[in-house]
Amino acid sequence: MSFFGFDTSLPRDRGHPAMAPGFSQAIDHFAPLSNVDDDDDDDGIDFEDTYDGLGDKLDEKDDALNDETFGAPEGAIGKDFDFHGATARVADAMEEEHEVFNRSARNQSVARVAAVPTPLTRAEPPTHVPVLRPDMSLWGSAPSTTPQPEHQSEPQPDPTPVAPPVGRKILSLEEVEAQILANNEQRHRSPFQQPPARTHPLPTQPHHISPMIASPLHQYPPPQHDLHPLQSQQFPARIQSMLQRNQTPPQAQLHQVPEQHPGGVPLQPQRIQTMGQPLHPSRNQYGMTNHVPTPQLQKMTEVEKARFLEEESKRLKRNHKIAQLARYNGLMTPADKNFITRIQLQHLVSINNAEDNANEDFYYIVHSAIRARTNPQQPLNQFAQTYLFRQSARGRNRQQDNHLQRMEQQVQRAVAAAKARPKASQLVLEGSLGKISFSNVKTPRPMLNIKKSDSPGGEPIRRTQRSTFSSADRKSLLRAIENVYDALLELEVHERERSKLPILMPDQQPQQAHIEWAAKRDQLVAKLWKETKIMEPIDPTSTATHPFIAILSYSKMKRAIQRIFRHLDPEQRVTILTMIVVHLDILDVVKHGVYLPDETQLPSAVREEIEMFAASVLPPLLGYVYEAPLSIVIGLLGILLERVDVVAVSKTKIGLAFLTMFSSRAEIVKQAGGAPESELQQWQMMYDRLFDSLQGHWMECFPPGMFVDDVYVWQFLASIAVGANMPQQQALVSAVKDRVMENVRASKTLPPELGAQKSANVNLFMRAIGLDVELLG
Amino acid sequence: MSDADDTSPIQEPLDLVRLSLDEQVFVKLRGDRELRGRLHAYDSHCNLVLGDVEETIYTVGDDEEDDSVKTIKKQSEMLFVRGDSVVLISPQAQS
Repeated sequence: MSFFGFDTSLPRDRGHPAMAPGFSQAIDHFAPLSNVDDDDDDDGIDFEDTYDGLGDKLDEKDDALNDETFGAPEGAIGKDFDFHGATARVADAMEEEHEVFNRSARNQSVARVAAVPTPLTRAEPPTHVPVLRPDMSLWGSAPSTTPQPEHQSEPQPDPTPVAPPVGRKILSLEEVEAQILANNEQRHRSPFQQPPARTHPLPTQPHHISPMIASPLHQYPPPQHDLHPLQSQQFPARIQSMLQRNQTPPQAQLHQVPEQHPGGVPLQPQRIQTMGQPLHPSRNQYGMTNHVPTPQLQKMTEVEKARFLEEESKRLKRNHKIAQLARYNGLMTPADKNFITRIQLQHLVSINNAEDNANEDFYYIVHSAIRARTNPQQPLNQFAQTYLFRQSARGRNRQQDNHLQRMEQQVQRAVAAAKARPKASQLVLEGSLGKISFSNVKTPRPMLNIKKSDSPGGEPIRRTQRSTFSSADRKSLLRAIENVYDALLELEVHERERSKLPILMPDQQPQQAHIEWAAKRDQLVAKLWKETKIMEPIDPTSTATHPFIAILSYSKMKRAIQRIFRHLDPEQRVTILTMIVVHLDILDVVKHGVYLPDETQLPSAVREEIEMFAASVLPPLLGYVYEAPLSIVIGLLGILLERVDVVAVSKTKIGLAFLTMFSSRAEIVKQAGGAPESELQQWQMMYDRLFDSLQGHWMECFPPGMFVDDVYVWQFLASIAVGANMPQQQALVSAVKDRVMENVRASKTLPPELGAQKSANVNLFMRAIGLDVELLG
Repeated sequence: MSDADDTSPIQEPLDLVRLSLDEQVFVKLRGDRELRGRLHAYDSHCNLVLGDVEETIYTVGDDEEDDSVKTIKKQSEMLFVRGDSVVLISPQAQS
């Protein structure tokens, strides 16, 4: 007992804090080991006597007196571990207490000595009490720890670092102190070890003491090392540990304190650090890394040091940031995170899913596309884009959202897998009398289950429908139109699917997906073709209208023609054109388009239908005819002249439109040249037939009334006049001369714009025969 | 729509209404109202969108002595009809 009867055995140090409440709960894992030591250097006086007294008496009620017992925590106490000097000042008081305690405890302790032989580590003679304080400071935590009740549990981590020295009991206290002092001096000599941020010597001290005192400690350096700002290697580890500690924000927050006030009270952060690291592994990790840098640091040159310090400050800043962010760690539970992730994924899927996009915005997109078409006379292929706009747009963006698509596909796969998981829609509970069926949004609980009749039931109905189609009633016609629309929509949806196919390079072989897509498309086109009823045989003897012509009398079917047309191949297009031409005289717009004798205006419903036909059906037909070879034009006009009453047809706007279509196309082909001579001759024959059949009826082409829109008639006359030979032209001019003069006169009395319009219309014809309205004066 | 639709004429009552799409229809409503117009759209609740609608409202005079039926006619270019007031929908032959 060299000093105040103090036993230098380290395990005893831990015995002392047992007086602090809460600390007594600490389990000393090394008690048995230290036991041996204690037995060896048993002084015979004290610890067995005092042990019980400490345990029973000091635990609770004396806590408040800790300050008195150990002295107020002064920075000076723990600084240099000058035990002689520091403790001597309070030695008297300690002695006094020691005596008092001894006296009071003796009776009990004597009685209990035999009973409690083992927990030797804790045993301390009352006289040792004052001595213990400096000893604890050796471990860097005691001096300020004990007086502050809120940190009473701090010493807890100590057992680990202490553990190794258990077997070592070589150094006397004097030796230890000498080493400490020497070490201190050494430290002061080496400026690298002075922390730049903390000039306070205290925090660094333990660092040096511990390795000196006990070499085994090197493996378990006190956790305080962590805060040494010079030890660079440990910082990555600390960042890691911070991240690891994300789940425990309070600790992380405490952690932050030292960095915010690097020059402040240094001991506090250290202790906090100690508290924050109850895990042995992490501490070990720190300890390992700690020891490497220190010697390196000392060997560094000034430049290296400066750079090192710079890096260090950067790290500190980063740590500070991370620590600040860490304040919000743990706010969200894993469930919350999952929830947000789900929402984000859903969003991603819906944003990038062309299908969804088109579905959500379909009508707006189509509407705006239609609105955007300022010119209704634009070529057919442009109009085709209206309903296929998605395709081209997708194609352009393809490169950009490629990775997004991949992601999307993955998500879709995941979703599909989740969907594919069989979901029980029914549950049979044991002992229950029936099944319990669930419902959810997708599959509401079926309240009624009516079996739909399968194809065997459906087939006969269809048969009868077919057979009665010739006398088609309104309802079956309407149904036929709906079927056309069904097929059309299905086909259009499928066309839109094309955008999902991988893009083919021109030299690439079509992949399986493309082949399947094309097959499906062909199938759908065939279905659509069938639904139009166009292939129903034409029965010349039948009085009933051909079904295609019948359904074409509905404006919704007229509207559909344009959309149907672009899915068809040229052969099918010419079939439609032929069908219409053959039935031109019974086409509703032609049949009802004839002005009755006392009529100056057609009924509004008829006018609407004619407008609809002109706007929807004619453009695709025109588009086809304007690219058709002369032979087809000749053939169509031949059919027209053969089967249709041309005079009656020529009295209507639509009828004239067809005639104009053929004659102007033929004229263009003729003038462009290159057509075979035989075809030109054939055409001339056709033209003559047409001219002859209309001879004498030219004026009937005009609608009644002076101020109606007759531009289509002038167009027709112009197209006829261009191809006419001299006698034909003369006949034409003499036939319509009155009308021309009328119009010219009227154009002068009318308001300028209308007048100009009228004379321009007339001029269409006049120019065709090489004249001009101006010449008429 | 599936293939069965093409073959079997009617699967549900509203399929009949579908045939009247874009056609003139007569719609009888609760509250002594009638509509005549072109059916543009409908849904499973019988919500309707009609175009060029002529609405006829039948009212009986409020007073006890005046029990004559008056009719009020309104013309609307486009009308949305909420389905819960629809009593019947009937196709109207073109007049």
